[in-house]
Amino acid sequence: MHKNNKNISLQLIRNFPFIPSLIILIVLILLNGFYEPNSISIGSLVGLISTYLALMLLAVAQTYVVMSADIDLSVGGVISLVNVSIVAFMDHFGGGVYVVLLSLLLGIIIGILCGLINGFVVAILRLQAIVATFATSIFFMGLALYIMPVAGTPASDLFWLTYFENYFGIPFVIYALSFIILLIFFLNKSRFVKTLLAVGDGYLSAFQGGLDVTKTRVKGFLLCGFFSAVSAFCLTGETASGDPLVGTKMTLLSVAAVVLGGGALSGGSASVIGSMIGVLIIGLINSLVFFIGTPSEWQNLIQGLSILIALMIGIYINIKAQA
Amino acid sequence: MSLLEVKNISKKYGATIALNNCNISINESEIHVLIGSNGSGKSTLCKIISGSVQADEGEIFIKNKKKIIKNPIDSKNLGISTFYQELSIANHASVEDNVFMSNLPSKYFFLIDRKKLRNSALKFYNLFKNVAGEDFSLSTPVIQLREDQRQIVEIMKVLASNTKIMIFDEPTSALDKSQVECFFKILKNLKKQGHSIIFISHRMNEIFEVGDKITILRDAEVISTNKLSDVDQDTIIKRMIGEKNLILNLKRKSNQIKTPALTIRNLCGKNFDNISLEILKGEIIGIGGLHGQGQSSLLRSIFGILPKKSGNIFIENKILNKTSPRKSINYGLSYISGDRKRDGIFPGRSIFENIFPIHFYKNKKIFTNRNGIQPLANNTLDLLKTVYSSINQEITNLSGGNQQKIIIARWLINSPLILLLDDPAKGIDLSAKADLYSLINQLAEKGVSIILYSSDDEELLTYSDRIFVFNNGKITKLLEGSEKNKYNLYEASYDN
Ligand SMILES: Nc1ncnc2c1ncn2[C@@H]1O[C@H](COP(=O)(O)OP(=O)(O)O)[C@@H](O)[C@H]1O
Ligand SMILES: [Mg+2]
Repeated sequence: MHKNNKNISLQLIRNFPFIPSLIILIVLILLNGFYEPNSISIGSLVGLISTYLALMLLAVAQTYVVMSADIDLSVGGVISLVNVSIVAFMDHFGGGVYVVLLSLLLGIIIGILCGLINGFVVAILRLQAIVATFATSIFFMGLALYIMPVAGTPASDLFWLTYFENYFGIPFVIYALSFIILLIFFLNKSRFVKTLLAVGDGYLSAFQGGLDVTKTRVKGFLLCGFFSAVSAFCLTGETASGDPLVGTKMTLLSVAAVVLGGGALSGGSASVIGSMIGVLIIGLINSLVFFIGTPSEWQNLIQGLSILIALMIGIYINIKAQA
Repeated sequence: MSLLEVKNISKKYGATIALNNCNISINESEIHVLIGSNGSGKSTLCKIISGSVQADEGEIFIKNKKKIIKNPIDSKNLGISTFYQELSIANHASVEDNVFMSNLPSKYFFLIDRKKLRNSALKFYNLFKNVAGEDFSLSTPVIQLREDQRQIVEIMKVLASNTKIMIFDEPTSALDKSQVECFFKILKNLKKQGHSIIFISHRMNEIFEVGDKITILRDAEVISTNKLSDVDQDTIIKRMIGEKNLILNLKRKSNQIKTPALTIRNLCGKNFDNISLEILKGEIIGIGGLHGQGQSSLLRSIFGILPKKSGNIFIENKILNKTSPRKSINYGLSYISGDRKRDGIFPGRSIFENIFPIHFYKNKKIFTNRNGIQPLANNTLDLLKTVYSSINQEITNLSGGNQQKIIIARWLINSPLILLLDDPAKGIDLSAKADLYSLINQLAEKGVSIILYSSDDEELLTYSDRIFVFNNGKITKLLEGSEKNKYNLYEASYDN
């Protein structure tokens, strides 16, 4: 009986590789609540989500390329580019409703174009993803700096007011999050994501099995570009201004979140929900370090160590489950 | 009328000629066997037909019309599907997803129609339900399956595409007897329905059971095509190996000094239970039985790859408490697995780098003189009759049989005391097998003790002094002397 229980839980982890990270997340929420009882209220959880929504979306974007065993180090650059483009656009044409909507369309197009460039150099020209996207990230960042050399241009009021507004007593970010989760839910059941994962499991196998490996990888980058753009919208709502360097720090966090969420950088196995949980883990570790009262000069070190420990726990559980 | 015709195909990989001006023609309702030693070009030919590899020269005709096949998608559209020797499945995807991967049923434009998928997959699952094992289900991720079950998934994948032409490149290499029988029933049915099938196997009895025609390849060339009813096993073997002769000196000088080299008492572990056996110096003992009855797990546990649950292992008279591969190597144990990809080769590295890791480990030197040790490798490789152009060649450019010889050389250069052979000749050709076993015999004469697990009963019966038959993780029978025959082995294997 005992053995049976163990088997069931292992089965669960195999089928839902993000379960270890979910457990870590719950432990972190409880720890946060222990040191700072206020942090467990609805209000502060909404605050947590709203602070990290942009990064969550970026982790989602990253997950779709990691699925096909690629990596995109340009997502931060894309965020910066989309952020400054839409802010400059709204600034130039005034902040009316139509202009705001047009700017969103513009942002999506830019994101997808960036994805297309990445897909082209990585999947069609066959450059190493890690190096090629690093190069394109510099290119995107350069474009962003050209569009807006200094940070500080404010976004249209309408834009960020909407972002912070409550509708029927529920904050806008919750609607946004629900919509995104719904989208992800359907994507997860799609043929495309299944193919993406199969391609990531091994290019040669997938090719010989009759899949179009190149096209699939390019589409993965397109999807990544799309979600990066959406992430940039959230960031713009959150900061209410344009900043050509805003995405810089987010790239590697998005990669870390994917791994924290149980994704394998070698491809074939990654979970979008897991990556979102990964972001929340990073966020909660940051706030926990603060609540414990770590002296400021030690905060980075403790944060780094804690993320490392969370990674190790997740990987340990997954290895146990595979054995 | 010939359905598929391949004309004057040639293919080179760098300096290696994989195919030289080959012609082959397959009729409707025909099972066409390809046979040839490892590296003779069978897989390359299949891959060219299925679009995975491009020929340098030559043409492909389907129903007398010339076709250009640029990739596997083209070939699928022309009605060709392929079982790839190295399998084309995605490890993290489930069985049913894999079976229909290139053609997942959909609803609402982009969602997978799970119900339809399950129903279509069930049809193929039911074909193998009784032989695939209990832990085989449609929702299992392939990564959790055994090798034989994975091959079944790849077979199902080909069946699901339901194309007029089906190519099977060594589909039975990991299957047990009942699975092969089940597969052959399906093949014969397909033939009746008018499908054309290319089938590759190294097992003679299989070839004669299902084949209509046989094409023999040797050294990248097609030697002959005949009706199977017109040739016999002897002719086939002679054509395959050409001038090389296969005579083996099986008589070993009986130098058994009757001192035990390795003793196992009540060993329990994953997939096996309460195993006790003793092996003398210079003895070859076989462990037999159906596929996957714990033989491989036992060898892996002795070597320390898998943990043991209880029981003792003695080497000579020293007890081996905690096992680990490193410790075992220090005690003179060697483990050679037939699963080269998983346990053997370092892909992407040279032959040299593939041969020396154990040597370096045993000698515990930080620096070494490459020119000083290279002859050691060359000698051992020559002893094994390995074919290679340079020791700096990348190992994956060699054929399977030659890769296996490199792995064996890795262990031989340091004179092992005990060899654990885990189906060492799996998927290698007859002449390489002969080389391998004559070497094993020589080693035994020199006093090396050998435990041999082989999925080929013929091999087991021929080469081992005693055979322990495994059934469901336990030793059910010990066959010695005149008892050591096929009948007794089968009886003990199939006994429940
Ligand atoms: N990708 C490759 N790169 C270099 N050489 C290869 C490659 N694939 C096969 N070869 C070589 O081509 C020859 C034929 O191999 P193969 O068709 O796999 O033989 P078989 O299937 O009959 O064992 C072998 O000598 C092998 O080493
Ligand atoms: Mg082959």
